[in-house]
Amino acid sequence: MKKQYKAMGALALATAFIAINGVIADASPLGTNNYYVGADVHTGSNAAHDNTTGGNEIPRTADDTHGEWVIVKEPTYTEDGLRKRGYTSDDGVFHVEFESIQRLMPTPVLPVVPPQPEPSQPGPSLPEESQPSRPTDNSTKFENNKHHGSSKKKRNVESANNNGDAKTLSDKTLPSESKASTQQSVVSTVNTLSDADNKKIEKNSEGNTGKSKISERRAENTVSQKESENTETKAPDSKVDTSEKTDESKVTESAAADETRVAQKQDENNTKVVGKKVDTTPVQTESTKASRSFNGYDGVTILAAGAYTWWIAIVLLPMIDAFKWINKKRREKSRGNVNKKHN
Amino acid sequence: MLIRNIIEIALIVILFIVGIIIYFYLKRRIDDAESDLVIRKKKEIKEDIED
Repeated sequence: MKKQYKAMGALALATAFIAINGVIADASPLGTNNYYVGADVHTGSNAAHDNTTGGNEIPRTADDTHGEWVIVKEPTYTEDGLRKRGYTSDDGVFHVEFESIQRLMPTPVLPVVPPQPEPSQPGPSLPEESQPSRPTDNSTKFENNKHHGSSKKKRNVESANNNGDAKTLSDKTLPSESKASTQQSVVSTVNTLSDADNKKIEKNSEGNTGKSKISERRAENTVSQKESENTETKAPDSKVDTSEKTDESKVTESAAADETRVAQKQDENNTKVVGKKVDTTPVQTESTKASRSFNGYDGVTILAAGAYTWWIAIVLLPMIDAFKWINKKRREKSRGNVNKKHN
Repeated sequence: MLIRNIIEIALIVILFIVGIIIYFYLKRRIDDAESDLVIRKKKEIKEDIED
């Protein structure tokens, strides 16, 4: 009998060890925040935390234990989000409260990043010899790269630079604006580009030959192509210069476009990061609470363990004892000392 | 379902299976032993001894 009691005690300890975590969690105050299927759900509290609004509200008291908000649906630019939290009223009944989250703003306001000097685009260099017609980078670069040929070439180049001033200015302002703001800045820069193109077309039509008219008809093309055509009409020797300049302008345009893309991606990433930060913390807290709570599976497990212990104590252990007794008798019989006591 | 619940249920199921296997093994051995035994009344045994 002592062996039986020892086995029963061991099984009881095993079952208690299995269920002790859930029992402890059930006794803890964290267990009051659990949701369960069939709980009273109230969707009338869509406005705010105000208890007075809405007839579906359950009157709360100071003893209510509110859980943390858990986001059910993330807010987007087009739809509102939804979040919930649980609380226990005086009756000890769990309730789940839902609340809407306002939709995201279409143009999130971000802190203005001060423009930093780009290594690819050196800062605006002042004109060397009091020439207000060349305040831009491309003009100075073009001067540095040009061949020292005849004076006509220089004049052509200057006229080309004057025509491209507006565009280069807009190119310069583009990176800083793209860092500071969002799509509106992009739209404004595009407008400045179109204005610059229009000015350039007008000047070309006044000063140049019929080939410039052809370039006007191709006004939708890039500015670099126009400039290269103008220079070709007047000075065939300056092809290399114009090609270099067009390369530079293309590089600046591509750099500006890349910067705008990077800024937009950063904006998107910022919004995504903010959304993720809002989401992760409540989900983690809910999972930790749920892992510590005593649920139905724990109850079923405890019941099964109890029934199994009872069956072992009542059925299996006597069978084991009978098996041992049978083996003992067979051994004695094989030795020939059966009924030794009676003899 | 939590991992904790899965582990609990798996442990209980394994214990049930082991217990059932042990039960059928012991039952077979005990039935074999009982087949050899003959239950007789005490009077009959005494009569046999006296004879």
